[in-house]
Amino acid sequence: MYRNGLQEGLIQSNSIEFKTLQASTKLMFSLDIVTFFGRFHPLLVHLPIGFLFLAILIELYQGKKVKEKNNQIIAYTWLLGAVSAIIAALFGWLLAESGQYAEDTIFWHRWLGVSLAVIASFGWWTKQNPKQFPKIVNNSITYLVIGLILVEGHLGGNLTHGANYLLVYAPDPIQKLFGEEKKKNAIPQLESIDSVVVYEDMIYPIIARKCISCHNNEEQRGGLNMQQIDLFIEGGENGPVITSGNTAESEIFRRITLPQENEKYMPPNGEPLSYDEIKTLEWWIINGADFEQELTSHQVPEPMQKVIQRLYGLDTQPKPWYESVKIPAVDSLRLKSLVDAGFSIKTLGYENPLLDIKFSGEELSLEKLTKLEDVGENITWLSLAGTDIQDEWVSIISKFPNLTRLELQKTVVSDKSVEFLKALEHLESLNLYGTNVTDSCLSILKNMPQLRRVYLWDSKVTFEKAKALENDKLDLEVEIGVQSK
Amino acid sequence: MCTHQHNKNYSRRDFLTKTSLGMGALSMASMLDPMGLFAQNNILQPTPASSGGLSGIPHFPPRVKRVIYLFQSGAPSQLDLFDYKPLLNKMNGQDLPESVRGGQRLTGMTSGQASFPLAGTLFNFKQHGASGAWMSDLMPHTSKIVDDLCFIKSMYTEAINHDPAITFLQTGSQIPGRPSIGSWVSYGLGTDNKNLPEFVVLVTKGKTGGQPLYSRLWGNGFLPSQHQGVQFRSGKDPVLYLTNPPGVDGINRRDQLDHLQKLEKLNHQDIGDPEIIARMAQYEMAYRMQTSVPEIMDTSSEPDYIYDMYGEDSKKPGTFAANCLLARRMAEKDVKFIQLYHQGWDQHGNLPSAIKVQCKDTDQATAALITDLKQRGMLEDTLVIWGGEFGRTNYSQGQLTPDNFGRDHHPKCFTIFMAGAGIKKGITLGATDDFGYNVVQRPVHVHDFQATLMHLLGVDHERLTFKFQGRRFRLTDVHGEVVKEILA
Repeated sequence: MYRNGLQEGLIQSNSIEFKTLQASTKLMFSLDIVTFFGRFHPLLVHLPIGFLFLAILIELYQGKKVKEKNNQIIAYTWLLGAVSAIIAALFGWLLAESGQYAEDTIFWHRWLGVSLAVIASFGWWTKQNPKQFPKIVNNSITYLVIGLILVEGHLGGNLTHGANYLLVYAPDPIQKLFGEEKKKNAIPQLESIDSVVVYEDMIYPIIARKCISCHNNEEQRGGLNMQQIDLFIEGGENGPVITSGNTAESEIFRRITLPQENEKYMPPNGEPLSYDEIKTLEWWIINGADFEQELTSHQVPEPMQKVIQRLYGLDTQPKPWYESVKIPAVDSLRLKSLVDAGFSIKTLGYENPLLDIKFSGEELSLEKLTKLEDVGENITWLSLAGTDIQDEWVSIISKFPNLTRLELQKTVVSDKSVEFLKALEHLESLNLYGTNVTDSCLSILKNMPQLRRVYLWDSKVTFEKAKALENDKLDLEVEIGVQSK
Repeated sequence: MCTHQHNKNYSRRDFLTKTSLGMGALSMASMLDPMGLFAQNNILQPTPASSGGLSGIPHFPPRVKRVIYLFQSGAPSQLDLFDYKPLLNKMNGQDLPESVRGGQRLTGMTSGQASFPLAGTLFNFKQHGASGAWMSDLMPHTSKIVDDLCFIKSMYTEAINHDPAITFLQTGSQIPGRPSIGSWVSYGLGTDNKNLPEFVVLVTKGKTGGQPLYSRLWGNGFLPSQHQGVQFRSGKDPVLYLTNPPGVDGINRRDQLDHLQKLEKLNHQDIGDPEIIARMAQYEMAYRMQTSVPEIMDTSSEPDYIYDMYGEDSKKPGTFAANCLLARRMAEKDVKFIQLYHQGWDQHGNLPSAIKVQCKDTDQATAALITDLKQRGMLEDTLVIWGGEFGRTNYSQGQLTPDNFGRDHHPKCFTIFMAGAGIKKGITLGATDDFGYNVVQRPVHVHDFQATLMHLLGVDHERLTFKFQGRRFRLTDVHGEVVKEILA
């Protein structure tokens, strides 16, 4: 069988697993036959429906003028109905055995189907000679069969096409009439990245959807309860199911990624975990399978950002600092004296409190620069390129807590300035080209946590040391430019 | 009733709208800042006070403060430069299958052709950089910086001829009369340097063969006229009529302008035509440009190794290389929108030899400009765009010989690249089919491109509008979606 070959290929490396799989393949062979026949059930069920309705319609047509001959036809049709109902029920039972349907969802369909077969047989027996029975028995059998066929057919339809098949395209009022239960099971969408606890808000909803029906406080298949964190950590009959940081050693991850034919595959029935769900679980386990950690403490890698966007509707792309600062905007009156001193001032956006300031006046002085202190908290981009700024003055700049971009190119500043700047914990980009900074400022730059880009072309920094810094600190781009000979 | 538009100061409706809005703004301001209402010289918004843009813009923090658009007029062949299609070489000379063309219209230049022989490129393609971008060896310098570039291979447009296509790309409409992108930027965002125009145009000199360019491509359309692009020429007079006529000195000029100012003020009070203000703004700008323009055009202070970077052409005024160097100098002076045009890409015949000349003109300077901006830290807030108005066909116009062919206009796909602030580096977005004829992945319409450009500048393209003849117009008309995939 091709399937054997396929599975051998899949698990050659693990001999223990291989044995269990061989065993399960044998079991599956008989299961295959069961499933093969079982799948004729949806075809066969139409026969009893047709025959039984036909019988009832003939009876209705004939009305009160009872004739012996007609009675035989009715009884014969009931017989066909009863026999086909029994066959259909038998095949249905086989289909249920294939394990593709959760027991709690097929319970009523199964037993109503059996009852229908029984009652139809009883109907055939009464219709052979209806005069022997009181009218009420005759009628109630008829109505019961109609009712059973309708309910049973609907339940069967739900199993095949899904519970919302009938109503999903219904007009809104009709949908409302039948209650909106369909959203209950969906993964809750997350509004904002703030205060999202990874396990509680992202992982547990997946577990609740796909695992909890068999691993809960009432029922612990394999001894595993996933409803409570401490019991989940404890694991099942064979010990813990999660190994933090290692998906290969985590039983839960192994189970959900097995081939679906494998009897150990989880979940054994119902919808399998989607790609995004598996990826999210993987990411959580690799990151230590922590139950308390908040999303904000993670650096979400780029492929995961897309998964999280799809699954939870949450944008986890790290926002630049200047988009996340929440402070009051500057009263525009206070900007007047800055404009007069020669600063060009722009806001970052209509609703953003931060300022983009550039000195475009004639001569920068310490006095003019000091005026910036007044709005220091609001400055995020500052350009003093080509000004007369001195090293000592930079200490003023180092007090601007939200500064993310600083341009000091083409000035006389030196390493001393960089020493001041290390206080800027959100500084992301620093332009020092055409200044007097030397190799010794590199060790300070290396320790600035948020620094991502630094421009050192045409300064006294050497090419080799600049490249060394770039290799040392991988998240920092060091631009040293073309070398003038 | 006001019958003539120019005689109209305020209608009853205008009066009511404006005063009620004004009162609203006043009460709003007093609520926000109760003391400020009675202060003198109150600046409500820093933006309009210092730079003349619209209040409320930028709509969100801008990633880009200025744009350098290297427009390759005539439409460069994407199939010989960026979009590598080995199938065309394999099927060289065979007819373009009708199933691929799918009824696409043809220009009048090839519609009479009996066959459409596929033409494989004659140039070698290699992958470059860590990003593995495909480039033909026509562009050796640009090939070295591919890791700084973002290619869009799935651009498409609606026009099939040069005039409508270039007008469409520059103004958002195939029909002339709308404002150019640079004018919209100038109108919405204002200036960062009052001594230079926000929107400057540089055209490569002596490339008149092929398709003409006309000043309406950088025109202001219905926007106030100070937002039109100002063309800087090479030679003695970079901006025409800027220098004082013989016998007039600076003091005279100032006096004259001051008096004219007073007269025009009276004139404006009388008839209220906004163009009076626009013209006075331009007079004043011209006056300031009398000193700022010579300063920016004088590249003698550039060191030799910078000239070496841009190539030997950069010492010849009016070449693409010299214009690239000027573009960098203007960007340093905070000119917002710098548009270069380089003509001569319209290779209907003799493509293999003609494209070599074009690449020699542009390749080194383009790469040098990007490298130079990068080392100065200017890619932090500058965006560079390189591209034409449409693509070229995968079949030969005219006879296909082993060493010669031509390519006709092709609107269904073309390639552009960008570098700089706010966009991802070293990526390629979108793809065309194996014939290089149709877009098969992530199509990017011209309006999407324009929307993305505005987005990078901090402008919501749907909210920057101008009411004209009873309708609010915008650059992207009623279309355009920001191409989020390329945003960094």
